[in-house]
Amino acid sequence: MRGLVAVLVTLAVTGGVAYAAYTYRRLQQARMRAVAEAAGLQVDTSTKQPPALGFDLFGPGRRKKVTAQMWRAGEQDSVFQYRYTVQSGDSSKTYRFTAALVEVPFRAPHLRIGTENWWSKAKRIVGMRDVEVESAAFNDRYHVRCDDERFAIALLDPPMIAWMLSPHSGGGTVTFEFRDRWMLCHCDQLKTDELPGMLAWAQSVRERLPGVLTEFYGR
Amino acid sequence: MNVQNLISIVVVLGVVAPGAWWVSHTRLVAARNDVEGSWADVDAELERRHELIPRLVETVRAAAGHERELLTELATRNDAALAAPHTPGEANRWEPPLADAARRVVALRERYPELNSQQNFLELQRHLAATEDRIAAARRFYNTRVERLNRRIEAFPSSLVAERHGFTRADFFDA
Repeated sequence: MRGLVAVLVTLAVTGGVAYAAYTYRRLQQARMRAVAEAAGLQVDTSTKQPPALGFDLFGPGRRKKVTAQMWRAGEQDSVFQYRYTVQSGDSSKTYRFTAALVEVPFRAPHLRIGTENWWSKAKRIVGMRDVEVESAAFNDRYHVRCDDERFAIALLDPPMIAWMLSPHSGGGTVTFEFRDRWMLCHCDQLKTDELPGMLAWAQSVRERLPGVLTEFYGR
Repeated sequence: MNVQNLISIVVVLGVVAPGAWWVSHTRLVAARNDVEGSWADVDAELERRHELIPRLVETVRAAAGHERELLTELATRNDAALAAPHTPGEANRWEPPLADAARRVVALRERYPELNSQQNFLELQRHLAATEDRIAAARRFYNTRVERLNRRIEAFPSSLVAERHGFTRADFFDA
């Protein structure tokens, strides 16, 4: 009799948890749809793999998942939530990001602009320098890695550097990656209702990119 | 210190020192080649500007013949820049006044609105603006190469190698 009660209790608890998770997921999806509709965007509420575009962000970890992808009808640009897990068991850790992927009018080599960390600073001290521009303030704040240094220098013209050093660029909270005909801007995960704003912001970054990139790296 | 230790030190120094010297020399040569290669890119972009200027002068002369003095100044400066040796030092001397004169000629569109309706002029203006951007990008890249070479020439211990093998500082291009 006790065994039967235990089984029933276990089933009830498991069912309850499953139902709560299902309900939570449904609410999340409804929230995504409401946010997208308010901003005039399409939304895909399913969970899928990240795009195979060779960005550093999509490299490490396992259980890589893209959710809440939003885009404007007829456009390639999109914004989405992304997460991946590293290690397993008790030591596993999940990293969550919000990323905007926008199309650029040129073919870019792989370039990554992120903030300096202790490791990149240590490398600078021993003479292993990254791409450096004419602004010492920029070099101190950002770490730039690129397959083609000429591209990085063309991208980082004085107006772009000034913007990167201003609060409008996200104050170092956003990492930029370029590869082929895409630019990926990503930061720590934002709330669902901030996704349309992130997409619009990333599209405004595209408008700031120097026209000379199209001259040198046009499709 | 016994003789064996002394011999070991001499042998190690005999291998390590020439190796470090060779690496340093190779890096200096690579840096100098980078500077020369990137200067060739700047020079190619300056050539584009030099080719556009005579067409600009002819196009503007048709609509703004009264600006003979300015147009002659632009043509003269273009000829002078073309005739000068294609080195960063000479370019620093001749290119800024040329760019300045070209900007003033393009600005004539404000005083001669008929220029704005000339397809030729608009296209030249667009090409010239794009060329200025290309020059600026090539200049920035060249200057980063110069910075790298000069740093190697000045920093110890590569400064010893640079001095022994006659490496000299390169000029920045500021125009």
